[in-house]
Formats: sequence, C-alpha cells, structure tokens
Amino acid sequence: MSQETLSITAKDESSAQAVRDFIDGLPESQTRITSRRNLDGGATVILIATVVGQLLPPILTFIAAKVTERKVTRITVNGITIENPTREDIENLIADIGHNQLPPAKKKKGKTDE
Amino acid sequence: MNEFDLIAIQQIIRDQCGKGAKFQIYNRSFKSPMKFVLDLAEEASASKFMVYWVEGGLPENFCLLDFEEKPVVFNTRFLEMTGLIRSILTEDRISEDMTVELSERLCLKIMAEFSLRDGVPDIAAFLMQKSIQGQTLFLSEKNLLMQIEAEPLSERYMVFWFFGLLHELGHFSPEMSEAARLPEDHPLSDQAIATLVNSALELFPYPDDLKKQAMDWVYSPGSDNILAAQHLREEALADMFATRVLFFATEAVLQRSNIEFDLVQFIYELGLFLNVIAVINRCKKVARTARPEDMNRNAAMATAFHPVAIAVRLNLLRDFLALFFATTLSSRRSETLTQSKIDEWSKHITELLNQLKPSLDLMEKGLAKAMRYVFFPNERDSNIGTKLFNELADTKNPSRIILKDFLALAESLDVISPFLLAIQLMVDDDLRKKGQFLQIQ
Repeated sequence: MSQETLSITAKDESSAQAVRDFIDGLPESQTRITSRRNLDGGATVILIATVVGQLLPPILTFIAAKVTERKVTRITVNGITIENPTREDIENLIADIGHNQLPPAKKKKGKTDE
Repeated sequence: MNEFDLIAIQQIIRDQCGKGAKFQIYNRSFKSPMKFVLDLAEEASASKFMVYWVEGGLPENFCLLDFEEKPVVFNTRFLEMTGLIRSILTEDRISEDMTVELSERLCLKIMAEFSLRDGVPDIAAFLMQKSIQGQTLFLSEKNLLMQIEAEPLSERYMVFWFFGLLHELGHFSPEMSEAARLPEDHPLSDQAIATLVNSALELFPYPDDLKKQAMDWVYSPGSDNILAAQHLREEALADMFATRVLFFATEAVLQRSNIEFDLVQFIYELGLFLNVIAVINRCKKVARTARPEDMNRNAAMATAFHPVAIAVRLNLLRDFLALFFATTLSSRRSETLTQSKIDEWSKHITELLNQLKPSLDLMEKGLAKAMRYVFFPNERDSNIGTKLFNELADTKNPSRIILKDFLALAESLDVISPFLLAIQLMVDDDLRKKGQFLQIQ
C-alpha cells in the first residue's frame, strides 16, 4: 500500500493534536507535531504525517471539521497545497484523490470578519 | 535523528519555503565564521543544532521546536532582502525622495512575495507590478549573495550574516524555559514589560481606546498576539542570546584575522539589523491581512501595533546591552561595576541608535505608501497592466528579470492565477507578440 505525506498548519496545538490523535489510531501511520518560530516571534503548529494513501479520505473528512472552525491555515497533501482551506476546498481535494466520502456541507458559510 | 523526523523536516521546509527552494544540511567540517558561531551557540545553549541552508523561496528564517537535534532554517533569500533594505537605509548618495521611492518599491515587492504564499495571488500580482512600474533607478540584485559573501570580515559582516540565525537559536537557550517564572521585580516580568509597552504607546498617535486595547493584550497570551508579555519576553531573550554570542564570536573571529574589534560599530550594526528585520516582518504582517476575510479588527491591530512591539524589543535590547557591556568591560579591566557605568553605556547606546532615525523615518514613509495598496483597494490603479506591458516592450528593461523571478516563485509555491498569467504575457516575447496582435484587433 502506498504511503502519502500529509502536512497541516494549525493556529493552535490542540487542533493539530486532535488530528494527530485521529491519525495515530490508523494503521501504518507516523506523525510528528512541531512548533515553528519566526524572527518576529510568530508561532504556528505543524503536523506532519505519513499515512496509507487509501486512508486519506477519512482523515481529510476529519480535518474538514477543523477547517470550518478556521483552525487549519494550510494543508498539503499529494503535492497540493491549499492556503486557508474551506470545507469546499477539502471536498474538491477528496474528489481529486478519487474517494469522495465527505457528507455534503449543511450550509455554505459566508466569509466573516472574526 | 530517525528517518521519519528527517523526512518531516524536509517536508516542512518545502512547504514553508516553496518547492523551488534548494536546501541542504550545512556542512560544519570546514573552518568558517559560521562554524565558529554555531559551535559557540551550541556551547552557550547546551543544545545541538542542525542548520538547513536554504537558497531561494520565501525570505524566511525559522526554527522548529520539539526535535532532539534542533532544526534551524537559514535562508539566503532572507539575507538578500535584508541586504537590500540595509543598502537603502545606509545609502547617503541618493535624495530623500528617492530613498522613500526605493523603500516603497522594495516593501511592495516583499509584500507581493508573502501575499503569494498567503493565498492572494491577485493582490500579489498587483503589488509586484506596482513595485516596478515606472522604475528608473534599480537596486542591483544580481549576484547579491556573492556580493554579501565577498564583503571583508567586519562587525557589519558578522551581524548581517549571523544575528538572524542566532536569534532563532536563542529560542533553544536555557533561559527560555525559566522565562515564565520570573519574579515581579525582574526587568522581563509581565509587569516590567507592561510598563515598557505603556511608554512605547506614547511614542505613537494611537487613540486612547486603542491604547487601552493594547494594554489588555499584554496580559493575553496567544501566538497571534504580538504585544503579549510572554511573546515579547521570549523574543527579547532570543535577541539577548544572539547579542551575547555574537559579541564574543565577532571579537574572536576578527581577532583571528588581526582586525581590531570596534564596539561602537558593532552596536550600530545591531540596532540597524533589528530595524531591518522589523521592516521585513511588517511587510509580512501586512501581506497576511491582504485577504479580505482575514482583514479583521485583530489582524489590523496586530499590524498597527507592530512598531510598538519593535520599540519594546529595542528598549529591552538597549538596557541589556548597557548592562552587558558595563559588566563585561568592567570585569576585563578589573574595575568595580557601578550604576553610573551602566547609565553611561545606556546613554551612549541611545545616542548611537538615534543616528538611525532619519533614514528609518524615510523607510517608514515608503512602507506607509506601500501599505495603502493592501489596505485600500480603491488605491489600486486598474490600468497598471497596460502601463507595464508598454514599458516592458524594451527587452533590456531590468524589470523583466524581476518579474520572471516572481513567476518562478509563484510556480514553486504552486500558485496559479489569471493575474500571474497576465504577467507571463508581459515577459514572454512570443506571448507578447500575440498580445500586441490582440490589442491591434
């Protein structure tokens, strides 16, 4: 089974940790969380994981919930990077992978200021 | 380090800097100033570092926490950007108006590069075009890194090359883990930092309600909160670590080459460099607010309060330098350390840093002019593409190379946009011919 690398950048550690806990429960996966610090002191939390390719859809489905909370600021999978992903972006990503298992969004949210 | 950790680090570097960035682990088997600096930093922090030398991509240095052998990214593109800003700040052969113009253009360019990464290619494309449209005086970017490397060893060379790197390494210093438990009377306690923020706020014309909000931020932790005491303390500690290690490293490296160490020049270069990285960081923060949905009150305030955070860091660094030099030099001369000696150093350092103010004010004007294109969409001229298209008819126009580099960065970041294709049309001669044909039609 092919292994894929997935990385997400999150606003806080708890969001990244929640995704990590989910992935750690899947077979043949490896994960690592790290905090990135810049010269200006900005900090972001990055989760890197290698997972079995066929398990990407359920993982992305799980991440989609975090996306609606605007906790995930970037996602890279299969060489595709999405900045500030929306639920729709994740749906498209899953469709690209060819396993669209995500239930349809109840309501498309407008962009908010907060 | 295990294989998965190595893969993870490499993946993060590709994600953060762009696929086009080339990187390798810095080879420390040869004697060089960098090896000397890194050895000294490892000794001072009791940590092992793995430096990733990155060429190209986004101009960012950063470190990754939570690895046994600490990964630090040292990006030569960051060095090039700092070199360009530094050359504007120290160039006294051009008029004030030209300094403002060059500052504006460079800030627009830096914002454009970060906007690409932040997912706003249309604004990135506009900022990039604005940065070069109508330009007649160009800062030389050709072989910039080689020029920087070819500079003779000096205080300037050492600060320029290594302050940013050492600041990152400072995040692993032992003081960092003790920072949260400081007593109230410590100069880096929450209370002391709140006092400094309060004083710094008085330097800027913010309305009272914003000042109050700023003071509330001091006691609110959070990664996005640049005025949080915890954040300012950690950055100040990293600055102090960098300064301390760099002082001993510069002195030793210059001594080995029989060059006299000039302490005044060293302090001047430190102050200058801290302001240079402040400009890059402000451009980065402004770029982050370019997405309309991210332009909320908190993001706007974080951008507005960035100069306050820098003023606090400079104040803390000035106090640290005064104490550090007074202590170190008194000890070397077997003299007693007195408060008056510390005060004398403080005054001296303040005077030195004040020398930077006129050129920093001009840079600030240029930065403010650049920022308005992000904050006020109606300031963006709609016919900029046509103007630039006509200017680029001259195949020797240096802007063509700048735009090609920008397109390469976009490609390495996987950014696709019609606005970028429009730029492609301007710099590709075959496409230009077709474009002209379309215009005639």
